[in-house]
Amino acid sequence: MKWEISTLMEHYTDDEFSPPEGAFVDPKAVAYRVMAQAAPQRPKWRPSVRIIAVAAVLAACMTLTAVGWFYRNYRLNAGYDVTFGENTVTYTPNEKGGVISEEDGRLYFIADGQHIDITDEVDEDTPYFYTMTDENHTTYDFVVGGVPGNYGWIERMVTEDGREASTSKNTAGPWDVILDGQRYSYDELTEEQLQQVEELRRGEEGLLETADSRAWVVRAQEVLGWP
Amino acid sequence: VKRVSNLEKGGYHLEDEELVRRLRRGDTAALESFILQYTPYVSAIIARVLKNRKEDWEELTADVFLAVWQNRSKLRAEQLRGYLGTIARNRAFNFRRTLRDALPLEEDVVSLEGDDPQRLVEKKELSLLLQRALDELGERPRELFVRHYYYGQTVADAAEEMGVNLSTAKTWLRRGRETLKIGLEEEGYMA
Repeated sequence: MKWEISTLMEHYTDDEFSPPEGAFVDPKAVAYRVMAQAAPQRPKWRPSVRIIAVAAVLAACMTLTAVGWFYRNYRLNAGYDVTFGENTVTYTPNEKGGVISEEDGRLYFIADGQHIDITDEVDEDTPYFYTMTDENHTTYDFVVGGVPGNYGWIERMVTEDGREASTSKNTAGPWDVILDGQRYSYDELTEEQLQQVEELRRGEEGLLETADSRAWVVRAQEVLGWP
Repeated sequence: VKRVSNLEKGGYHLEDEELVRRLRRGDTAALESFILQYTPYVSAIIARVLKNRKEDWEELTADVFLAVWQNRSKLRAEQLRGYLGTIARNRAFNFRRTLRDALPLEEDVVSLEGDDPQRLVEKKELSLLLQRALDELGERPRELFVRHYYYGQTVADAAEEMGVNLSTAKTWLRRGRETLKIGLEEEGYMA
């Protein structure tokens, strides 16, 4: 039976080489998420039915205002619910939707209820663009590029009041090396070529390496003025 | 009496022994402190495995603490950090698998004898075997092996961060795999 080394390593405990700690996420935001589930608040007294009714109306008004403005839920077509906080954007996978469907070796744009065969409109250099605006005046820009089997996309959402969220798939090019004028993926280098790479690194001429965004992404950035 | 939560106070640091003692008895104030203290550690592991999924770091970090809280009876102060790290690493790997996002790992397969390699785990031999095999590597090759196969860091990223050239890194990984296979063979687990 074949086992992945990475799976075997589930049973290893590392206390030597853990990554340097840093401010990757806000600890307070994590705590609020956990405490909401681990220690739900319970009322300490039981109010009368009338108080409940009045409180419910007041609470509903306040909640609608707060939720409507600060915590309103949005949905990216790519399959994420998006919640904007005051300083945060939270993405929750919802397993619904999608941007591209690959069927019988062809690419179909499927967001916004579409089923458009875009196979002949895209390649590694040429992006496909699609824009939609929903009933809340939120605008969604889509960019698709690549070829069947190696395609990617970007979805960028901008709300009416200017808040942004985006998600993407397969937008980075491979880390390649140029040897004798030819571009190779590091993963495909022979032992001899690896030796050549080492020699070039030591030499004065240096080594040409590249890890750019894919060409269709660069093109889309130019067209749409994205940073 | 108004209870002021640790969050409102900005949190405070508890020693692991005290922290675990309070967590085990279900103290939610200790849970808040625990989260504030260890979020930088847990999120760093998740960020290393899921480098390009920034939008998921916070939720996965929260999942780790919730899992620990739900299994708090198993906590041991002397193993707290390692235990947290293992849960964080495994959660991040599992999440990555659900994305069908292949891990960029080098020759990530070994063939084991028998139909039920799970017996390795049940006998609690596997963690010892891994520890022994990796101890045979020098510190730097071991670090690279752990960065790659444990934390899922690409060879290129790990090599760059360690200041090692890529071909050397690949050689170290190959030796690491061979050492692991020898360890498995000696214990009779290789096919």
